[in-house]
Amino acid sequence: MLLSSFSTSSAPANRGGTATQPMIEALVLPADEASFESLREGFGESFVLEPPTAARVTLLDSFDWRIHEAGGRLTLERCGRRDFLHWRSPQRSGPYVLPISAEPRFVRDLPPGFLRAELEPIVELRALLHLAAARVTRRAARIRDDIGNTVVHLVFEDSVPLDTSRRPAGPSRRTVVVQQIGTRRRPAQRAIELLRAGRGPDDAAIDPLADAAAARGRRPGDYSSKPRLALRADQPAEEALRAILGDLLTTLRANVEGVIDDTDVEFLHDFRVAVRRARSAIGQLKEVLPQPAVETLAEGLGWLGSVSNPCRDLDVALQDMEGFKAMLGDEAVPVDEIEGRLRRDRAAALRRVRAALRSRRFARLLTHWRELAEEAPTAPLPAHAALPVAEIAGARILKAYRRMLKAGAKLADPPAPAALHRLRINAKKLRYLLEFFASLYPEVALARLVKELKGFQDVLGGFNDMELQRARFVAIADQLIASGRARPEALFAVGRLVDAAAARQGDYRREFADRFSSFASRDSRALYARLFGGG
Amino acid sequence: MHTIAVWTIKGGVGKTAAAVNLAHAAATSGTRTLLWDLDPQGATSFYLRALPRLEGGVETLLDPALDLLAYVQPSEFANLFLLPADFSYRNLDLELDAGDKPRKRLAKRLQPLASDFDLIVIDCPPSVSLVSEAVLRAADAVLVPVIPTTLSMRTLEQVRDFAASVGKHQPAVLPFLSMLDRRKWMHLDTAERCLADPAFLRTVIPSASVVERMGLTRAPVAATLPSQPAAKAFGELWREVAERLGIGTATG
Repeated sequence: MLLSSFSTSSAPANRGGTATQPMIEALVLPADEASFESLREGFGESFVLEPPTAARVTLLDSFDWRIHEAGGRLTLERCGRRDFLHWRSPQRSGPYVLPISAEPRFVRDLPPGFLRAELEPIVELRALLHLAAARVTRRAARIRDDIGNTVVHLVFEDSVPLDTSRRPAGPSRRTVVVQQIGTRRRPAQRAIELLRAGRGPDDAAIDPLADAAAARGRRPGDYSSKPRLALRADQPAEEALRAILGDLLTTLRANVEGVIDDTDVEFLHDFRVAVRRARSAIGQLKEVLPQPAVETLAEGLGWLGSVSNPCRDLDVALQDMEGFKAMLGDEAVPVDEIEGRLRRDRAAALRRVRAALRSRRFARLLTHWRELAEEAPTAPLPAHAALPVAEIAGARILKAYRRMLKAGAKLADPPAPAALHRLRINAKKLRYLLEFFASLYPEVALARLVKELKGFQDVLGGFNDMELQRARFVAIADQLIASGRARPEALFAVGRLVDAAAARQGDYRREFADRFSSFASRDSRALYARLFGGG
Repeated sequence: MHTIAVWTIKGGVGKTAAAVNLAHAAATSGTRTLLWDLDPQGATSFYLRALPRLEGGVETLLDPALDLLAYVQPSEFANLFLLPADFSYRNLDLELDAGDKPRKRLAKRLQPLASDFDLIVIDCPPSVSLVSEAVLRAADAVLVPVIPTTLSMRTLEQVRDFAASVGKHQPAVLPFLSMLDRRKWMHLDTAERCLADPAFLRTVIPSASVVERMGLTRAPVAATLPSQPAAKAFGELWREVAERLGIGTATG
C-alpha cells in the first residue's frame, strides 16, 4: 500500500524534520503532462515512477462540512474490490489508510483506534455523507539519493469528477503531492522548483475533489447553521428583519430532507434552532413588519416547535444514555430495556414530525414565510419599520442582557429549577440577537461576549437536560410498575439513573455561580454598554 | 497505544526482518505504527530506505526537553513511520545509566507519542544490557524470534529469565518460530517441541530467500511480493499478536 493522496498545502510545521529545518510535508501542487519529464530531467535515474493504479474516490464529510472546516480530508476509496478510508489529519503527520469491510455511516461505526479518535471530536454525531466523487488514476513516485535512500515521495493524481450517476462531470485535473522523507530538505525543494517551473502561482485551493462537489450541487462551506448576514447599520429595520427571516428560512429548508430521512439527529436540531431563531427575531423586533403577517408566521413557528419537541428531547435522552451506560458498567443490561423504550418512543415522535413536514400546513407556512421575507411590505408601515437597524439592535441586546442580570441577581441559593429554566430561555434570546446583528459590531469584542454567554448557556442547558432526564426516568419507573412486568433489576437501574442525573444536576448548579459572575462582571457590563450604546 | 519490542539475545535469527515486516503488516491493517530502530547497526532504517541517523544522536533520544515526534519520519508506506537508528546508540547503556531511574527512561520517552500512534514496534539490539531492561519496562510484549535449534531454545530460556527479573512490570513474552527450513529434519523436530509450548505463537515464519532479498529490495516482503508465503506469514503473525494482546485490528 503506497502513500495515499493529500490535498492541501497546509503542513504541520516541523514534523519529522529537525528543530532548524521545517519539513516539507504533503504539499499539493498543480501538475500536467510535462511534470514527469521535468522531474526525470532534473533527477535522472533517481526519479522512480511506479505503475498507475485506479480508484473511485468519494469525499466523505458531514452535511455542514465539519471535516473540511477542521482542515482534514476523509475519502472512501475503492481499489478493485477493496475499500479503504483515507484520512488526512489537520494535526497529525502523514497519511492514514484504513481497510474497511463496510462503509461507516457514523464515526462510532469505526473500529477503536487512531481514525476514530481523530474524527470523533470533529464530526461528533453527524452522519458521514458522500459530498463528491471522482475517478482517480494515481501514480506514486520516489526520488532517491545516491545510496538508494528515499528522500522525496510524490503522488500524482488525475481526477475526473463524477456526478451522482457516476458519469464524468468535468475535465480531468492533475495534481501532485510532494512529501519530504528523512531530514534532507533540499531534494524536495528542488522537486518543487521543477514542478513549478513555467507555471503561474499555485492555485490556493487545489482539491479537484472539493471542486467535484459542484456536480452534486454542493461546495465546501455552503451550509452553516449559523446566521450569515451582512447588515448595514443604517439599513431600515424592516429590510434587516426580512433578511434575517430569509436566511433562517434557507437554513430550515436545507434541513427538511435530512429530518425526514433521519440522516442524523443534527438535522432536526438545526431545523428547530432555525424555528426558534425566527420566533425570537419576530418577537424581539416588534412593529417592524405588518402585524397580521407576523402573527401567522408566529403561529406556524409555534406549531413546528411543539410538533418537534418530543423527538428532540428523546434524541438528547438517547445521547445521554451512552454516558449513563458507561457509568453503570456491568449493570447496564437493564438499562438496555429503558433505552429500547426510548427508541420506540423516538420512532413514534419522528413519525409525527415527518407527517408535519409532509403536510399542506407546512407547505403553506413555507410559502407565507418566503413571501414575508422577500416582499417589501406596503404602506402603512409599522412604527419601527423605517428605523435604522443598529438603533433597534443595540437597544434590544442591552435590554435582553439587563433582563438576565436582574433575573440572575434575584435567584435563590441554591437556584430553583424553574428560575434557571427561565434564565436559559432568556440567554437563548440574547444569543440569537448577538448572532443576528453580529455584522454591525466589532468581531473580536462580540466573539468574547458570545464565548462568555455560550459557557453560561452550556451550564444552564446541562442543568435543564438533567431535569428532563430525571422526570423521564421517574415516568419510566411508573410505567414499568404499572405494566406489572417490571424486573427488580430494571427498577434498581432506573433508581440509579435518577440519582446520577441528580448528581450531575448538582454539578451544574455549583458551576452556575462562577459562570454567572463572569457574565455579570464589571468588564462585561462595560463592554455591553460600550458596544450597544447604553452609555 | 501498544508497545511491542522485538528482541532476543542471539543475533542472526530474523529479528530485524520480523520487526520491519510485522510493523508493515500492522500498518497495512490500519494500525498507525511507529517503528523505532534502536539497534545502532541501523538495519531497520536501511530496509526502509532511510538514513540511519538521528540529529543529536543518543542525547536527542534521551533529552526530555525534546519532542521525539519531531524526529519521526514518514516511510514510503501508509500508516508506517520510522524513528531512525543512529550509530551513537552504541553508547545508549552509558547514557541511560547517567540519568535518574535509567530503566524507566525509555518508557517515559514513549509516553508523549501515545496520541499519535496505535502501535510502537521497537527493534532492539541483540544483547543483554541496561538498554534491554529499559525496553522491557517500556513494552507490553516482547516478541522473541526462535530458530528451531537447540541453541536458540536455550537463548529463549535466558530471555524468559531475564524478562522475569526486570521488576514489577512484566511484558508478555511471545516467542515465535523464525527461519524454519522444512528441508531440515532437525528444524522440524525442534519446531514440533516448541509448538507444544502454548506460549509460542502458532505462526511460523519460513526461511525464505525473499526475506533475504529485503537487503536488495529495501522494502517489507509484502510490499514487493505480497503473494509469497513469507509475506503471508508475517501478516498472519501480526493478526495473532494483535489477538493475543487484544489490539483491535482495524477492519470496520
